Amino acid sequence: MKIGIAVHGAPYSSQASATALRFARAALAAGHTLPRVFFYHDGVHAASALTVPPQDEPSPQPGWAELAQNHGVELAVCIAAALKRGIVNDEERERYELAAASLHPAFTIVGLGQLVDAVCATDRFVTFAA
Amino acid sequence: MTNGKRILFLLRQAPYATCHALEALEAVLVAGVFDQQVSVLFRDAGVWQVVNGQDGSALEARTIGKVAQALPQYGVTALYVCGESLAQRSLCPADLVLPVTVLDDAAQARLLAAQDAVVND
Repeated sequence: MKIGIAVHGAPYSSQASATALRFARAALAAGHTLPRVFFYHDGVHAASALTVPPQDEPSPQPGWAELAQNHGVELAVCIAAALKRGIVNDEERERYELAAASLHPAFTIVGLGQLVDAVCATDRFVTFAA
Repeated sequence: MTNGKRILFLLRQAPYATCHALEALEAVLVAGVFDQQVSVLFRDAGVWQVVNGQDGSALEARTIGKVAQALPQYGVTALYVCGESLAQRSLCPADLVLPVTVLDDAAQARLLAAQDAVVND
């Protein structure tokens, strides 16, 4: 079965990202496919390359990156939600003349239409709210 | 995709405490321009998103009720509100900025069961 996932809560301030990652791993292990995980609302903070996780509080980010690399899962970050929260790729850094880019390379910045596309292109859609 | 999927957005958050409600409505508007059967259920504190007499300018914010009023222009006309959530807040359909269908819990369960996908906020 094709499963779509949306993550709406930020890592650390919410359990959403970590729980979504566990769900994603379980779904893949059960033989399902995950074409895309869509990060929206505060969920976009999962894509920041500028976080420093405390040693005793594991970050879900390496887990997300591993899913992208080894299972071809697209980690899609909503551009409107990302830009206002300081999640910026090189292209947007240049466009807005910002001091730095902050997007982790495993993630991709996309439009909000990709959320609807993910709902339409999957058999099940699961939201992990904040 | 002639008829598209039946997609319900379940909106439960109050309009101004965070930007969550505005972002969720923006997602619904985008979904509306896709060729899908999109509906919205306002529940819990989410019913405040569609209450009359909002003025976001006091907070230098967009007026969420006005954003919600744009839903029909984006093809989203299936708008539902939880009757119990209204009653708990001493609200009635006349207090809302949009024509909506008020549903009891059993009708909401049937609405949810009839969807291909439910996107909660």
